[in-house]
Amino acid sequence: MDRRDFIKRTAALTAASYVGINLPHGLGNLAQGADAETWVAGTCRLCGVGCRLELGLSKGKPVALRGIADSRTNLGYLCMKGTLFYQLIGHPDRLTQPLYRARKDQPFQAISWEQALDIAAREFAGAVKAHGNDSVAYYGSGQCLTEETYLFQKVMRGGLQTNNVEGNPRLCMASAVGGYLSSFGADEPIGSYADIEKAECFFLIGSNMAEAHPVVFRRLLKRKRENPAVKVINADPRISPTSRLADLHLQFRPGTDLALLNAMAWVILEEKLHDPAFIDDYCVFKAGKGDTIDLAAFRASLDAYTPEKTAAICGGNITPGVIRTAARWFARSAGTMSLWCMGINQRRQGVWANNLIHNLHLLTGQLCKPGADSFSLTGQPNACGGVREGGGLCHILPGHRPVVKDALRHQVEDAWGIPRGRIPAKPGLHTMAMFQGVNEGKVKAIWINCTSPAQSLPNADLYRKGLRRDDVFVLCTDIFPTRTTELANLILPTAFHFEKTGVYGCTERRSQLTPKAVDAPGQAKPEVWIVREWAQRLAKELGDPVIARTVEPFAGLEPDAALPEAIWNEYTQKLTGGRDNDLRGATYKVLRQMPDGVQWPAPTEAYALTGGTVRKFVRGLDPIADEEAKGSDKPFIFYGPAHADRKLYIWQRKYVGAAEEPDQDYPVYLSNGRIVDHWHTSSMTGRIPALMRANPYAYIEINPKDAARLGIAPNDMVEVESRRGKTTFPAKVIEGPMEGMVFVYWHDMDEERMINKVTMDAYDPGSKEPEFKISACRIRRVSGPKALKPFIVKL
Amino acid sequence: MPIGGFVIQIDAAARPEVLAPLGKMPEVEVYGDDGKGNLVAVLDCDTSQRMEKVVEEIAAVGGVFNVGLVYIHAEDEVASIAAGDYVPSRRTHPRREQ
Repeated sequence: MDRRDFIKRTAALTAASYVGINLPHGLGNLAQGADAETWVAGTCRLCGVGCRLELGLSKGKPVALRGIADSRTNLGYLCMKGTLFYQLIGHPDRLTQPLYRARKDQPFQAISWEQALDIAAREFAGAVKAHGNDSVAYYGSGQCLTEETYLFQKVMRGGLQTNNVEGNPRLCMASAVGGYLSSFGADEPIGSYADIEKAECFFLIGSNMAEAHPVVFRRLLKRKRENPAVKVINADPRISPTSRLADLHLQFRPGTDLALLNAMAWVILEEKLHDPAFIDDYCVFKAGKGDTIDLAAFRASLDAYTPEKTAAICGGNITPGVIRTAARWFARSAGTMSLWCMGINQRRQGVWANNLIHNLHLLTGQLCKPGADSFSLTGQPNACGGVREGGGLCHILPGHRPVVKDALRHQVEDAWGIPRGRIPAKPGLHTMAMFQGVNEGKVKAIWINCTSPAQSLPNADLYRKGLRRDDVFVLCTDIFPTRTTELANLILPTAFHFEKTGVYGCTERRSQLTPKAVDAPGQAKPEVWIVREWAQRLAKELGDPVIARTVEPFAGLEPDAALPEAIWNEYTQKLTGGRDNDLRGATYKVLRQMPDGVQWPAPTEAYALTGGTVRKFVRGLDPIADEEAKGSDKPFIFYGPAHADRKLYIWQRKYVGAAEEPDQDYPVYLSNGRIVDHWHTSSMTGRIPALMRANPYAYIEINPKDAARLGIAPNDMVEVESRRGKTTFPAKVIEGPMEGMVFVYWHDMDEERMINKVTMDAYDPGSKEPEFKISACRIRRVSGPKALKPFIVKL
Repeated sequence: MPIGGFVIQIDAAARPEVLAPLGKMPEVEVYGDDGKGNLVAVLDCDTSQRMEKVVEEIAAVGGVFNVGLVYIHAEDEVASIAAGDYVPSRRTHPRREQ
């Protein structure tokens, strides 16, 4: 048997182990000696699912990735992105040395780290001296490790005395945060992926999880295939690859889902499908900004959303009958699990849309029991762990502490050993305000870490103008050139996944450790080292010893393991105790023993070694619920920090349409989303040949009726124009988007195909999350098919 | 030359109809199944591009619901990238000036 046979049999065994098949030929023994010399346990890097995997090394080089069959997140499955990202380790396009230019029309010059850190410190200190503390800003990412986000925000808040700390989760998850806090009093889902295998009904709304979360979708697929009686409802104006699983597809006019959700609530109450005991025990009804109302008033408010009235509002295939069917399936199943993502969150009324999904669960008691949960899917691997929990947004400090709460702010200052009052009491600029501040020249120095706002912000051209200003210093830390590094003064090369050590916290409150397995290329460094060295210089530039104090506990620690562990220890041990995301038990020592990670709350190491809390708020399953029960005879204790009354809120929320509805000038709805093979702005996946070949450029999906009306044939070039800009794509004529709507994939970084030049930058008044998903446009055929080539930004 | 391990989910009642065309695909080896609609297969292809094509061909077979990749080995492809013999992506548009 040659080496190739060994590898093939390893592949077969790995696949067989997922489905419990015993293969012949005694392959189990053979596999033990096959292929990689070392396997290093960690997580995937390319979405919010948190797939557990192992990186295979041969002679110290990455040669393979594999799933692990007993994984609690992915059951061993990986998607193509997750299977291939090892190719980015050592990729020839990697940034490997600091690059600088004083003016943005100059070419970059390679400089040393000493020079780079001095420049970064000088520019930020200079902005603070000349324009005040709020003239500097940090814009991070849901892909940064928790240790990185935590340390950046610590230096910015405690050192530079500004809450101008933001991250790209503002663009994707902020509405989910607002929804969880206002409905349940606590951020992040109550249940877990494990509910998928128990659910009898799935309500998928605003999510094309078949492409955006393919591994979780595979769990749904398996559940449905093995239990055909399980019902799947898919609510989406577009028939997507996710819709193939649905028993019932609800296709409604974009933005009318708020009416649809209210109509389902109306049916639930009208047909007495609700759970009066659950409502009496745990819920109160709320209206406006928090006025308590009673059930009768709530019910009366839904009379505007009878199935008949709502069908007229929603259009599409929505009839009174399908609304009733959906409501009945939702309410009557033994366990209903809702899953949603950007179609709900990236909306002007994103928080309200989240509230209305939660309402259905609260009315029916579809919560806190196996298979029942209101479960927001997350887009990035550490939007939850790093940004939502670690203090990565302008209004939240570590441990889910609102900035505006004096006592909580002082807890953080005390933990850091800095004077009280050092952290400003006022939240900083949220993402859209931050880049507006750049446009206006109010933000003079901005650090953009591991994300590309020049491509990912809505109405991107408007904000690129600001980033081009020569009086705004733009610093980018990244692994590859992007549309944003094109606008930078200083580019600092960073280590990639498995080239550094740290924790990701995925969708289901699960923190997982990925250790360094290989060296970063060239002079690339872990961000935690960069921040520490920068802060020390910053302290000297500004003559402020408190800045130095923010990194003092980490002085001299080697950056590959000791430094991130010390940062994690500070965060978890000093700032999560007594909070709902208690991670004190999830030490590096425990995480190294638990390749599946730990779900919070996990107050002790002994408890964390069980895996942590699968379902929050349930006595017997959640140690905080047990502790907080205090003589209660109820099975659930809703101790969420945002609701002092420990109640769950059923909100009266009226239907409000999109910020920009189609009109005579721009008569078509525009929406956009992910394609399975690409991630965000494709700066990584665009460099993996198999993925780029699969989808070399974005295209526009057009309903056949619209295409016929406009004389558009498949592959014709079609211009999409809004009030903000225009782009051109090849046409795919398909029964996907409903009539009067087009859909575009958003990953493409080609100047002619960047859809965010067209999208809408109106945002939710509560969450400040922009309405990427709905805007008005007009389309026209500009030519027949044209040869196109893929494009990736290079230096 | 990548090697991939796959779980192919099929209509269990259509097992013979699925296995027949798979047996004619030279790059596909079916190692076993569980009788409930899960087939374990290995794809040994010259290039990852070719593997994508074969996956599409399998997915198009009647009775196949899903072709799920669970393992991939591409050591030689990585080596060729490291050696500079294989450049995974290339600039195809002229540089745009700031």
